[in-house]
Amino acid sequence: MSEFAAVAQDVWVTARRGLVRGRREPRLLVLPLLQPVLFMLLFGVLLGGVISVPGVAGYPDFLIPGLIVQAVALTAGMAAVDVAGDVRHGMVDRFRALPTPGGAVLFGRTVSDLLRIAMTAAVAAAAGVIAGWRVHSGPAAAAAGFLLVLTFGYAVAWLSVLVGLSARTPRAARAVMPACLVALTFVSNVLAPPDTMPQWLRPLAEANPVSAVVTALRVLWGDEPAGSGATAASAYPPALVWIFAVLVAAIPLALRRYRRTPAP
Amino acid sequence: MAAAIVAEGLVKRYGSATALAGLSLSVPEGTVLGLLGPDRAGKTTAVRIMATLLRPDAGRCLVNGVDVLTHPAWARPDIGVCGQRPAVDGFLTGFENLEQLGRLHRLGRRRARARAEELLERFHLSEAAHRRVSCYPAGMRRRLDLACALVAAPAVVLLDEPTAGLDQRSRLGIWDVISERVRDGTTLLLATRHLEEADELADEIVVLDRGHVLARGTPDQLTRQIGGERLQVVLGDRAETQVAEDILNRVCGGQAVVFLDQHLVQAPVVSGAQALIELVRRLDAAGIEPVDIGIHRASLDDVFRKLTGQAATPTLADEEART
Repeated sequence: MSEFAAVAQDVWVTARRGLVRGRREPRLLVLPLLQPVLFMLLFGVLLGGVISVPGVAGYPDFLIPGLIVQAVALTAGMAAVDVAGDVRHGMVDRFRALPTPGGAVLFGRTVSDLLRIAMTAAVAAAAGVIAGWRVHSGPAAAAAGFLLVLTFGYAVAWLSVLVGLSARTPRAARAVMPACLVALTFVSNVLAPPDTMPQWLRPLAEANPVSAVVTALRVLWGDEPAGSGATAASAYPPALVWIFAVLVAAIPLALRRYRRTPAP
Repeated sequence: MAAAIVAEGLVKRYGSATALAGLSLSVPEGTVLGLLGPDRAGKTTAVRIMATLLRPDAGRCLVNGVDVLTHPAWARPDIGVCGQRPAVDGFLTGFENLEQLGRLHRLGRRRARARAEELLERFHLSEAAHRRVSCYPAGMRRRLDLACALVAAPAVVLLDEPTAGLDQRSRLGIWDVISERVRDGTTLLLATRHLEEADELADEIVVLDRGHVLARGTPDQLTRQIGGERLQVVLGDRAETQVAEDILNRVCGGQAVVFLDQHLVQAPVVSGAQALIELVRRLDAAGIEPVDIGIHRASLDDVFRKLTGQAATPTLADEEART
């Protein structure tokens, strides 16, 4: 067997581990799947009537791309809790003592995260359609949008793996990761355009990488408010640069951290 | 006989705390080394260094002839390791746990499955093979954990407190399994706080405390090193200790030690039985009636207590408090 095929198999075996865990311990999936549906009901349906964003036909058109991104980020964030648990229970030590390359183990794990992320994105989008959201561009652009969402989720998953490997306890990871992601997605353009926010908050929301991704997504799907000035040329590069930067930073750091995981 | 594990001057510090202060040891192929010490002795640190999981600040370590610091990837296939707590996936079955590790050891699907079946049988887990590990009792989890370390039939197995948190019955079960491996020619390093465990399983023992080696040798050597047999008299009256000390010095050829508060006098002795008869005779002649008299044999327990300044075998209550 060639080394490449062997590593591919290592990746498959660890990815399968993550998938089986997701299937047999579904409680880890409940929150990320429920959350977009609840938000959809709360903001899209319940408050949708009183909220109007200038330049968009209905609030759901503005809201749903952001909620999909938020749901994906929270799903990816669960990886931190999982990985911290693996450190705690000695599973990381067990895998590290194997001849299997560390990269294959972590890569396999993020492949299973990617599937969970895709599931969340699908559920969130379906809930969005029920709330009245539509993609106003063509199928190719719609597909490109989902690809962007998955890439973003994958980057957050690697960041979560890094956090999980660095957390002292699973409880710490459980407390920190979702809180950070909720804060990051709230102080952004997910719920409201930053120019409607207080003066001090606006720069934060505008500089937020989540805002960059959401803007790119709205432009792709034709949901960007008219008159915002965002175009393909202005919206795509920041989003892609952010995603790429997170991947380039988080992957080597996570691999390095993995090789130095402390005793459980 | 070639050495399967060689450690030379292993040093590991965490901040200002020294976990290992220059550990050197050598384990011949097919033998068991007991690494005996209380909590925080440095046992886990030593095991993790040998298992390629931790880099020491100084020192060298060869496992099966491979330097684990410079070529960890080459050393790993020959090493099986169990941590202090069983590292098994609760959401998988026993079979799936072993099969997964077999695949990661690149045995291929068919051999990984065959190996899993074989190990489950050998560790008396066949009946529970297809149950999820989250419902295994502690003893079974431990056995599965040991089986996990043996998936690739490694030449060297490192066990860090393999019976921590188990009741006596499960403990005996684990000992059986370990003895079996040793008969197969596996080299074993067994880190433990339990003297009984080291005594039962180890060919040689290294006593470790706060990162320092306090003593090493076979269980018998260690016992002798600390004093072997002693003649001991407990007196009813404190005033009699002086006379008893004189008598013991004459019988045993000096070196009598008095513990005044306990009314106790003792002295090391070579042929205990002979000396005991002589002692009784002389005490009687001096008109002293001892409360207790006898030959005291130093146990490995005494050795441990003397070396580390603490009780060797924790009580069951200690054990529960820890877990």
